[in-house]
Amino acid sequence: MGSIKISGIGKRFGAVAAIDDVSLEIRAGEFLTLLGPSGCGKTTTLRAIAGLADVDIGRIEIGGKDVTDLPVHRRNIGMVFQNHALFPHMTVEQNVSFGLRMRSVPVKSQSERSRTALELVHLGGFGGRYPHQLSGGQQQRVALARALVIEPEVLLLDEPFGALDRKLRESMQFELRQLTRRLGVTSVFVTHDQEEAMVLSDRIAVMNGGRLEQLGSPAEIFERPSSRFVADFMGITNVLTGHVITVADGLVDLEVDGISYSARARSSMVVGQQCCMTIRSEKIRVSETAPPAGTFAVEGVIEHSIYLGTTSSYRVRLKLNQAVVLSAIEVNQADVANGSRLSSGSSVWLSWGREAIHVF
Amino acid sequence: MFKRTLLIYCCLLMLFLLAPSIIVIVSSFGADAVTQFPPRSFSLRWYENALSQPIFLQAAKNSAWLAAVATGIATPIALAASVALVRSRFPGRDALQSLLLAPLVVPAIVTGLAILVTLSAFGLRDVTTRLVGAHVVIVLPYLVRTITVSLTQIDSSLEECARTLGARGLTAFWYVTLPLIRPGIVAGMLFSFILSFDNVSASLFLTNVRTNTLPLAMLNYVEFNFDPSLAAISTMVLVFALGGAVLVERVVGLKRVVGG
Repeated sequence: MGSIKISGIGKRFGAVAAIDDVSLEIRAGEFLTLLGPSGCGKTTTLRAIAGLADVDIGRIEIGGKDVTDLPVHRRNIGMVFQNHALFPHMTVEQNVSFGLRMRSVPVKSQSERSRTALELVHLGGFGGRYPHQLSGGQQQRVALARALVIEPEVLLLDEPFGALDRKLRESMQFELRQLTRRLGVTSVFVTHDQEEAMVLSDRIAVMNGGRLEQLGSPAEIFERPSSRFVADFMGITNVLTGHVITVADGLVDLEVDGISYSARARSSMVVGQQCCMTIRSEKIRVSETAPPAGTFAVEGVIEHSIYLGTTSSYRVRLKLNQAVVLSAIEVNQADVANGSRLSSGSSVWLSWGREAIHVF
Repeated sequence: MFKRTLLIYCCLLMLFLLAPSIIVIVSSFGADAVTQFPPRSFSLRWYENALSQPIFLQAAKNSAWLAAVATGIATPIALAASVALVRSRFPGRDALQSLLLAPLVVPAIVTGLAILVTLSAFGLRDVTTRLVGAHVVIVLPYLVRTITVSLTQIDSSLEECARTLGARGLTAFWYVTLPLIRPGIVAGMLFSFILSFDNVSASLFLTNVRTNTLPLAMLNYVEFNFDPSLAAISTMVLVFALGGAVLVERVVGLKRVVGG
């Protein structure tokens, strides 16, 4: 299984840069997701790896070999398209064995390998059917088998589950993850759904406006977003923008609309600099009484109180700063049914330790 | 109430459209020496008469050969043109499209005259070559139209997918796109054949006494005769055309191509 190395690729469509100086290394056997809103360049990047789109500048290597100028059919890649792209006039087996046929694999070996591939995606015995006789999930599984049967160096997936309903999508995600792990195939997955990216990926590359915004494991991206865009796109709550008042001893004081917050400093921070921070909602404590002196705390009023079973979610508007609404999640205690849960309109104190804040 | 009105309306419309054909078919079985409707008595003598005249047989053969050759030449041209028109963006693309479809708008009689003048200017006097050239031009737009429609209905990711699986561009086209647009091609060829077979206006300028097409032979005949032979020939042509349409419908599904 091959690694992929993308060095400084760029692609313009007229005045618009679809990909703007993207460099990315994907390790052998890794599952990497290109995540971003539509038009961010993720699909173009995937198509560039496949060879379906050529790049204006930069270099693409697969398995250590420069493939930048290699035509699609010689790149040995497996690709799954958004609309499955099954050949409607061929049976499932003919679809799956197409790649083998193009490689002049002996007919007997073709049918054996196709059958194995179909069993891999739990569709053994479906070989004689036509694509239109299958459900959406089955079609996408055939497409997966067709891409895998040729034993590609890399597996490329372009929003393959976009057209499926939520439940089916979740089970397909699970299956795909298991399959790629078992086969150890290097995979690049494109999606605009951050949850899907979190579920599937070893690492996520967040893209925006043709550029690579952040690259990291799902946990790194979620806990330490590097930009406001990433934080918003990942659906991270409690993102505030302020500026630095003091930097000392590895700590930083940030002022956001008149309230000063203390957090661990990032290396290159200077006084007056504008920056963002997030406060992890599950690390915020909500209490009706003021916490002991010396603990950081702000006062607010609960706007919404939502019971979610094991947890309760609160949206609290700060008293000192009416523009800020923070969201907090508390684990429910056993006696919630007795009315111990805080209700809307209550005046509360929010407190947290420094580690709850991430500055960027 | 509305449904019934619509039904009656549709029936009347069908009758109106089919009436000429029905009258021709019925009168072709007449026994009289003059075509009339309804015939006073019935016989097959005018079929016998038509089939025993070498002029008609030769003309029918000419027409069938011409239609087949013109269609055979125009189809690959139309296929290549359609692929270019649908798949790529290049300067002059719209102009090319208009040019290919122009014979649809220009009256065929003008096309015929234009071809006559042009070929004469080049000193080309061979009737067969002239006819084939003219008919290729006349049928081309119909082929381009049907093939273009079929092509636009095909998801371009299919061919891309074939290429990721190791097929070269042309191989991918051969195995994936071509089978999928085959209905469109076959339907286009059928239209093309029929169109060429009963073309009068362009052939009018290009035939001579020795080489004639069926519609022109019929035109010549009707100048001096008014017996039901022509009705008999028309009926036979009609049966062949219908047979062809049914065959195409059975094999590829005409509705898929025309309705698309």
